[in-house]
Amino acid sequence: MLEDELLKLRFLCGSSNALARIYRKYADQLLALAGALLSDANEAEDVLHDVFLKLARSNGTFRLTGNLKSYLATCVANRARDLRRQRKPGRTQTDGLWADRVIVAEPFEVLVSAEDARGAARVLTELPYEQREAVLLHVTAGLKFREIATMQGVSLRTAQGRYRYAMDKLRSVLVERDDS
Amino acid sequence: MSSRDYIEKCVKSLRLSRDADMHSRILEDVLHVHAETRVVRSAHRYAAVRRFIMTSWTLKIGGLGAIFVVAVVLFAQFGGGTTALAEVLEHIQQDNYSFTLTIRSGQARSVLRGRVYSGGRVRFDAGAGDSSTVVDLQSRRRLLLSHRSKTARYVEGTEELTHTGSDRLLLLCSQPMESLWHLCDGTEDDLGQETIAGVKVQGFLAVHEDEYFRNEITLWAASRSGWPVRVEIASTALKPPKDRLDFILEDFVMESKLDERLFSLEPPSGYVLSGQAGPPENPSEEENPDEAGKIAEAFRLWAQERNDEALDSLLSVDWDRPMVFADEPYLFSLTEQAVASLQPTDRDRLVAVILNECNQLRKICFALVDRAKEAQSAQDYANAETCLTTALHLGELANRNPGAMLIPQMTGIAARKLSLVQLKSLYEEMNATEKLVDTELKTQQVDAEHQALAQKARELGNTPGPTQ
Repeated sequence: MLEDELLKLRFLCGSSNALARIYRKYADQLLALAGALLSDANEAEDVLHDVFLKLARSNGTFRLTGNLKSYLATCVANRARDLRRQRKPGRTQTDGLWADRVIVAEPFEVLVSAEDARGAARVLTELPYEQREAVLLHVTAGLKFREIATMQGVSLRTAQGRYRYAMDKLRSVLVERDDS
Repeated sequence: MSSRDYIEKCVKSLRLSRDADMHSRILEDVLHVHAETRVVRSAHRYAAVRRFIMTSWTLKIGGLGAIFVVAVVLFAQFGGGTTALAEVLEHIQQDNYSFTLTIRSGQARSVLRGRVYSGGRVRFDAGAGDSSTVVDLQSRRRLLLSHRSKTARYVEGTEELTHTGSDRLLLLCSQPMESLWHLCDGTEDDLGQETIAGVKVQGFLAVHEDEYFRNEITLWAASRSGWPVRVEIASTALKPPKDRLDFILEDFVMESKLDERLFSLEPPSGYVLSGQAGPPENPSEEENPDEAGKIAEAFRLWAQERNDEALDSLLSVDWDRPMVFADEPYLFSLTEQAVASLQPTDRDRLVAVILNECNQLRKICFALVDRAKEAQSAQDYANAETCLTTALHLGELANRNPGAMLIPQMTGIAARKLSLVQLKSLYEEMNATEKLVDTELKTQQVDAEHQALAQKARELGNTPGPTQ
């Protein structure tokens, strides 16, 4: 937390090292978030690229009073929405399917099986976008339901409901597979 | 782990495999754009820092936490600590310091400066440094010093009760210090905290009682250092009429350098021990209080116009035995500086009493000379000589104290001269040559003393003072 504040301060002062440090710290998480939102690895890279380019250009005008990680996650979510809107109808993915390229992050290897992770990724791609966004922003970026509701333009209860539906779906798939 | 936690961990664990150069490429682009758009301006930098400080909640909370920690430390260090009576008594009983002592008795009020030397020695200086007392709080021995007459005198026990004037004042001074010296912690009442002269102080109330006095001690000490700030002692005599004295000790100042010689119980060089040959081990064996009592009784009888009884009392006095006058007749016991140290009203009253006693002494001497003349005419030479030597001794008694007031001394000279003139006549009639020569020598000595006293009177006549 304090490290993020110092990184923000240094970045505000024009430090490219701080920007590089921010990138290295959050790039993987943001890439995974973008991939999960868009279900497309290539677009996820574009989103990450765009978000950090925008951040780099904001030098001198950057304003942030909140959490850096939440801010970046929100930027990724907004950019993913933009890309989604720009998609041509009937588009077919030839490569870059996100679920096929999912791996388990190092700290979780001992806690989560790779199969469950991939199962969760597949369920996420099948979820309605708003539910997917709600669960990903809450779980991976730590956004509060109030913030998610504001971002999605819905009530707090709706945002909480979307998260709950998504979790039920994930639970049903993962628990059913375990039972079988 | 609940299923919800596990699912959340599954979601959190999701990462995207990527080619190794992907991040490098993106980062390179990002840094390139950043370098192009970077504006490095000190003003902007300071503004950014200020904005960051003003808007960052983390820094605000951290700053508040730091302020709280600093406040707690400062409070504990400088303002919030409390002190124990034991700590205060340690300062009082072991440090070198000076203080101002105010003594109140009814409307009367006296102020002195006292100094304490570690180890239980206290010194008080009265008036303009005319007299001092040094007290050993352990043994309760006291040395009275008269700097004008260069005399020293030891006082023991509760002898101060029989003293008057500045000597009594000086001897009384040791009482509060003795109370504090023998005070122990453990029975005190905590009076809480207050502020005296801008200093936060902790109060204690303790009672100390010895065989003569009951002392209620209210002690205020600095909360931070335990250093005494103000001590109030209400001292009540246990025996009737149960007089009350109030002592206030304040303005305590740490004295790092005190001359140990000032606190010696040995008389300073050049000082003469008066009243005794040295520190009395058993004073009652050497002195005969009855002899002084006989003289005092004679004065009382004379005041009641029982003149014959008064003269008989005087004629029974053994003049070879030492005599100590602690009270009346004041012309034998009081010094000039003792009278000078009194309040003006008390001083005037006491001077009137002494003048009356001088007048009594003069009349007694005349009566003794008259009785001697009668005896001489009846050729009762022994009786006549006894009467005259008694008058002579009374005069010598009045001249014994060099610090006495001028009027008693002059009265003493007059009494001696009167008796010596009559003795000379007696010895001539008796043909007692040796005694005649002795009388002649004494007359010369008296004349010399008279001249010295007259010179002193002339000098004092040019100097404002109580004897004017």
